[in-house]
Amino acid sequence: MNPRAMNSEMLLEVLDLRKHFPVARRLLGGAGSRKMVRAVDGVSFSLRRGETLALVGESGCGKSTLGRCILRLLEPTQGEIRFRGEDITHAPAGRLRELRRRIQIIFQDPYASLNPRMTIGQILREPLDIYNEGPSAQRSRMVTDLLSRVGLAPRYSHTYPHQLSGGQRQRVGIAAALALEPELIVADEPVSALDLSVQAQILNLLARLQQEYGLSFLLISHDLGVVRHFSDRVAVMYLGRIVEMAPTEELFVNPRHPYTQALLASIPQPDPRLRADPLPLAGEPPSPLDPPAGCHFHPRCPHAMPRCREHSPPHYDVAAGHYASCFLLDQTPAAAAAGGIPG
Amino acid sequence: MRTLLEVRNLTTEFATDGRRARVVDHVTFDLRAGEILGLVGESGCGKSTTGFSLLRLLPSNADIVEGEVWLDGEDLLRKSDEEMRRIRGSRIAMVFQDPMTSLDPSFPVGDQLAEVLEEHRGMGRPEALEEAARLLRSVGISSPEARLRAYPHEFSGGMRQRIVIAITLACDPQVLVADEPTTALDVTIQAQTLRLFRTLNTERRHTGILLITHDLGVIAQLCHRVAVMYAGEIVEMGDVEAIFTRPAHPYTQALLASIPARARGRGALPAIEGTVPNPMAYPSGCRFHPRCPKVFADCPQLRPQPVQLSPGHTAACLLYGR
Repeated sequence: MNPRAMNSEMLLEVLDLRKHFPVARRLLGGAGSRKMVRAVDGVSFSLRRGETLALVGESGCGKSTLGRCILRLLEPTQGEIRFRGEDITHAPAGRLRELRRRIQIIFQDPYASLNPRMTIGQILREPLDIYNEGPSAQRSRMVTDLLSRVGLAPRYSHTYPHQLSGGQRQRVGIAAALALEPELIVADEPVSALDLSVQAQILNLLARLQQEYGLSFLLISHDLGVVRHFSDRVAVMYLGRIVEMAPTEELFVNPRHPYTQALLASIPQPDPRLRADPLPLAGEPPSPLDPPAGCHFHPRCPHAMPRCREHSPPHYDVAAGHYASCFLLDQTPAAAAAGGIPG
Repeated sequence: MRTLLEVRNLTTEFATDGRRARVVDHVTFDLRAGEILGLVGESGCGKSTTGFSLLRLLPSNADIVEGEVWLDGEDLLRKSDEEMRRIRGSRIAMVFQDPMTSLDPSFPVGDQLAEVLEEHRGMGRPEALEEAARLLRSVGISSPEARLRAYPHEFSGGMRQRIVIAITLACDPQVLVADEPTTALDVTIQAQTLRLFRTLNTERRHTGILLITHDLGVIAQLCHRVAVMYAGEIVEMGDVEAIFTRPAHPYTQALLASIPARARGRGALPAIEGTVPNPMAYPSGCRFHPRCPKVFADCPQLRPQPVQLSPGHTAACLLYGR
């Protein structure tokens, strides 16, 4: 773990967070009671100052919804979000305005979040004006300063988003997120849309900014290579729940949940000497509209036992800071008597 | 291995705002029966346009201005549009990143498969439907008889991509061009699809696959040989082991070094500074020279030609001669 983050202040705590979306009845043929998509279904974790926690999982696992709940772009259904000890789960509009200075987001596609009719200078100045940051006369200099922090020359303040490359636009997206000096940045697939050579530039920039300003990142990514390189800890999500959490190296070297194991085995390694033809995970993730009973992963799990179909496994601790939610890790005498760990 | 496809000096230009952009510039390679050849590069390098040019599936503002594409002794670039329509699908087929490019949302997938079999293989409907079910099973779709009546939207993205692969296999093409076939898929579904390509490759030794992707992991796992493209040109070509363990072109070296999964520790990644050049304004000489860590005086002046480094391994870089 990042040594500076290890003993630092707790910045964000998420407790049993749930976000359920009602589904329009007509989509389901009009029958029965109102159905819910359980996009986030009881997630807890914490994040320290200066730390990077990665949320990984495949599409539909709820990682982006979770990120948007923390930013309060979505109203959580249940549970609690604490920021620097303060419960912000249902903070009113006035308080939210203040919180948005502290918690910012970087999107996958900065193009979608940058107003095409505004110059880069105007885009970066807007939050400074809205939040009345610094004396008005100094704001152009603050814009230039923001540009230089993300490695862009001052002349870019006169250009429009469409005149920039993907990497330059993501630098502007990062500058916009930095404008109000946040403490936490939710980075939702920040380099997924970028070419490999540019991706490395942006990851290096984010790492440098984290060092300089002690930023905390919640990194939402499906790219396990990026996650391994960039994060201190990893939470693996499957169908709305965290199934495993561990310090990054521990997770990659010693994955304990069968889903994490399958996910890691599925990564095509960029090295022909490590050629593998692993038996891939069968089937596809079930719909969060109708998740399976018990462990959500059991229909695809090669180790599924009868109890997995009926009960949701609790978190079992396997090492310091490492837990996985899988009955295979149940060490109680009853579990051992029931046959222990199958092949 | 028998050579199926010989591509020589393929050059494709796009006209935009009265200017011409040479997106593919004198691309030359062979594709052999039974091999998977990877065409890798970053966005805008011309790899997808190369694939579309082979099938002559280009937008109206694009032209192939030079080159030859030999398939079994015939130059596809000299064929009439009508002849090309018959060759496409039956002898050379393409799988796209978005499977909905190839599927009609308003017809059951069974009908779409059967139609291809009727047209290209002269089957009657009952026989075609039977063959369609067999093809669906061969790409890993369970209870295919029942799924024949389902519409594309009833399948997931991974399943749709399998159906498209089944359709392209229906005519048993000699050359299969796959453009980012797994890029839109989740990693566990991608692993299933890569396995399917591997099976196809083992079972159909007479088919050659050109796999176009930006994903070096997919290349390393699946391909026998690799061509690396930069700014419209192939800058390095060789066996997959040579490319990944002894990359010769500074661009290939830099690209491999910037993969986070290959980096050691958490230090800064070796990034390639700058951006991919615009095809409207390629740099002079070697097109990589403004970003190259090994640039020297000749690089902005001279266009490097491919130099053979070992049998089958070539690089176009002045470090290895002119």
